[in-house]
Amino acid sequence: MECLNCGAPVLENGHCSQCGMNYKLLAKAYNTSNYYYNLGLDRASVRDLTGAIDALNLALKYNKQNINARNLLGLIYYEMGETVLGLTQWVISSNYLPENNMAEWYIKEVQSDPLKLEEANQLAKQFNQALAHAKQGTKDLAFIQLKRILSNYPHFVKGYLLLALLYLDNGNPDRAKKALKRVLRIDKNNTLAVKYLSEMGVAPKDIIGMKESSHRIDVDSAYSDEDQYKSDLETFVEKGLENIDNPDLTVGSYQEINHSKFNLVYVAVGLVLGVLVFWLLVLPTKLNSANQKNRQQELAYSEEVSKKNVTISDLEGQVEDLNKQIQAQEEEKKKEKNSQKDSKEAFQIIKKNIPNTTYETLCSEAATAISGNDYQKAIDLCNVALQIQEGEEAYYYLGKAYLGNQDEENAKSAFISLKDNYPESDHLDEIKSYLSE
Amino acid sequence: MINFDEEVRKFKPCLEVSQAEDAIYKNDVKDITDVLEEMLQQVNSKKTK
Repeated sequence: MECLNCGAPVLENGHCSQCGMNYKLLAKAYNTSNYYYNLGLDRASVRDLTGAIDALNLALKYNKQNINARNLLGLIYYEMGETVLGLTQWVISSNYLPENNMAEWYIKEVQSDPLKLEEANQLAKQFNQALAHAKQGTKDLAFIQLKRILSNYPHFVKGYLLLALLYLDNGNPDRAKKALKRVLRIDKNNTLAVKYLSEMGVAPKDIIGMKESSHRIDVDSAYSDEDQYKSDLETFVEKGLENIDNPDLTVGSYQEINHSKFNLVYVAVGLVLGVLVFWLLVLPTKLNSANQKNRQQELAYSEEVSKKNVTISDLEGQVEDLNKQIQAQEEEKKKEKNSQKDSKEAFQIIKKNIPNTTYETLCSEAATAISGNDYQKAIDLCNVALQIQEGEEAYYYLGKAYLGNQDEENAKSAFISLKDNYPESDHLDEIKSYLSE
Repeated sequence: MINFDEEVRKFKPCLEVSQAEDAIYKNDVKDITDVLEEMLQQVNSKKTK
């Protein structure tokens, strides 16, 4: 015997020589898996798709490599409009058994037509949108979306269920019932559909009747019934489940209409409608947009004006500050001038009050500096003495000191000022020779 | 009575093509063989300890 798991030989104790698995246990599990696959197959063949899905999922729990179960599960999902779920199962199946696997053929079939795959993707997207609308409370949009979906994908069970729920919420139990009937035609034992019907108060007998009718129409009937089913479906989507089962088609007497005599009327009505459309739809929107633009411009201008006002007030503040600074500087200058005046006056007062002895001592010190050949000191002392008091001695020693310092120009000017200020000075005789030079 | 909000909440979004790859990788359902393998590993690890 070979191990069901790895293919290695099984030992006498019933365990695999390679993986150590108990052969009996594995065989039992594989048998159970096959049992559930058969159950699923039976259910699928009578269009009990929900029941088949349950059974096949169980089969995969016992043996996830049960290729038939996985392929059938994919096929059922595909039938119910869940193409991507179906593809998922087929891809996994082909991964477990790459050769001689029906899943490969299914995948190729779907992938061979990119449009089909795109349509399946669109279906999923649109349903998700519809579901989101239903959850958000925008049920009208959900209705529109679902009707669009169901007109393209008549086997999409989830869509019918959501539509039925929306009809129920909308207070249309009859339409909901018809949508649920559609579900039962595709999936005979759909638990949600049965639950909704029983919640709506539909008698169990009637529910069983619906199931049986679905069995009769979809499985056993010939193509003519299928065509009837499709045409029913189109009407159902277009007319919103109104007059499908009880068609009330009353036909009046036939009369040919002469369209030509209404041509002018049509043109006039068209013009009026055009004007009305322009007046009611186009003009208000244009006015609204123009008003909005104006408001925005107004807002922008008012913002600019307010900004400029702020800058003006800032600048005014700056001007005031600058004026204050100028005033303060002027006051400071005045104070400085006053203080200079005060200091000059104080200097004069000090100058007057300095005793003459200081002048005289300065002059005598200048004389001693000259005799010691320190002419620069003598010049400084004489200048200080002249600041304190003008006198002939100071001019005389200043001139001599300049002469000693070989600065004849300054010496001459000092002697000239001595001569001018003190014409009767004793030193004039001495300095005459310098002046004449 | 059917509560719309509760029932709508039970609806799950459909898988889109772009999500198929994730769905395939996440489809790691354990079967009996996996459970038995795990049990054997546990028994073997206990024996080695």
